[in-house]
Amino acid sequence: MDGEPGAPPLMLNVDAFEKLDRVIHERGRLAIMSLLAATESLSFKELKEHLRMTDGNLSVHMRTLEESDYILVHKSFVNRKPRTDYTLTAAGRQAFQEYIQTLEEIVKQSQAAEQWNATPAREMKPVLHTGLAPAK
Amino acid sequence: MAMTGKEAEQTLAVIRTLMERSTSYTNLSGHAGIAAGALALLGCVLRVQYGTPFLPTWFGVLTAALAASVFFTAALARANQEPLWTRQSRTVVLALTPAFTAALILTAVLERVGQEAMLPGVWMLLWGVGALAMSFFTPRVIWLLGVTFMVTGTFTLFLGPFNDALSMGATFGAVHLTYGIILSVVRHPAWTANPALPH
Repeated sequence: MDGEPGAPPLMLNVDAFEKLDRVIHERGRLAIMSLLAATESLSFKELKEHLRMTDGNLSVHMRTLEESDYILVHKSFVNRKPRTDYTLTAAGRQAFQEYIQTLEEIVKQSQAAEQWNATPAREMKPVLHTGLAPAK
Repeated sequence: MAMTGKEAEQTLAVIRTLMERSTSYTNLSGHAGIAAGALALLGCVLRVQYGTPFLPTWFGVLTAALAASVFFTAALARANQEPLWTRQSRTVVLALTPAFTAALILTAVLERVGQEAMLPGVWMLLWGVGALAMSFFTPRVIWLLGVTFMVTGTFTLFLGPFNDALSMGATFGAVHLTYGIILSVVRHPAWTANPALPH
């Protein structure tokens, strides 16, 4: 028998979900943050190639990240052509690290919950769930 | 904003893949390795069977191997719908350049002082150094290639000189063939993942 009907369900800590940064949690922006976290800086063109996003879509995400102070924008000219480079700010890097830590926390909690559910009833302390002493 | 453990796990895997994509050079062609190995073996045949001169033979092999490498890498990049000359490829070329330049300088110096016999060991050692420098930005198999060449180079320099056809065939020939086969046939994540990134 898996688990025990009378056992208190192991609840996941809701705080972990609440801690997820809403700016980063969006799929496109998470991808942008992941790419920028692994490099010193990336140009608009490089990000577009990696993510296969449209110019408009990428611009909107970059503006959101810039408004949250997660990225720094550097505009320049290379061979008379405009070039825009993006770098993570210290706040952006920290937010990204915290986001990863929260995800890891959720994974750990989920694994603990699965382990609890998979534990056979005979291995649990009977007094906790049934109030009966173990039969000898 | 709820998320299950499974979803969190999948998101972490996607993050890892994206981080790898922006730092790791993945357009390593197994065919280029096989071509380089086959060309080195052809060099051995030319030296043994036809007695071709030492330096022109091996420089010819190097030039052909570089050309084959560019050709197969370009083909792989095209197949992956990626440009050949990217930030990652530039990083790999820059990592390789100091060892390659040192090899050219030492070739000129040792040739000048009549120590040609030392060159295979020097080339092995410096190709090993170059491969290890590249391995920070490439899959694991390049690290293994670098270590193998550093070990064989050290061995050749201390215990040699050996017949150049034999030592070049065993290392630049056989080792590159094995590397090429691992990359193009085996392609196991354990060999092709970048060890520098978190799991």
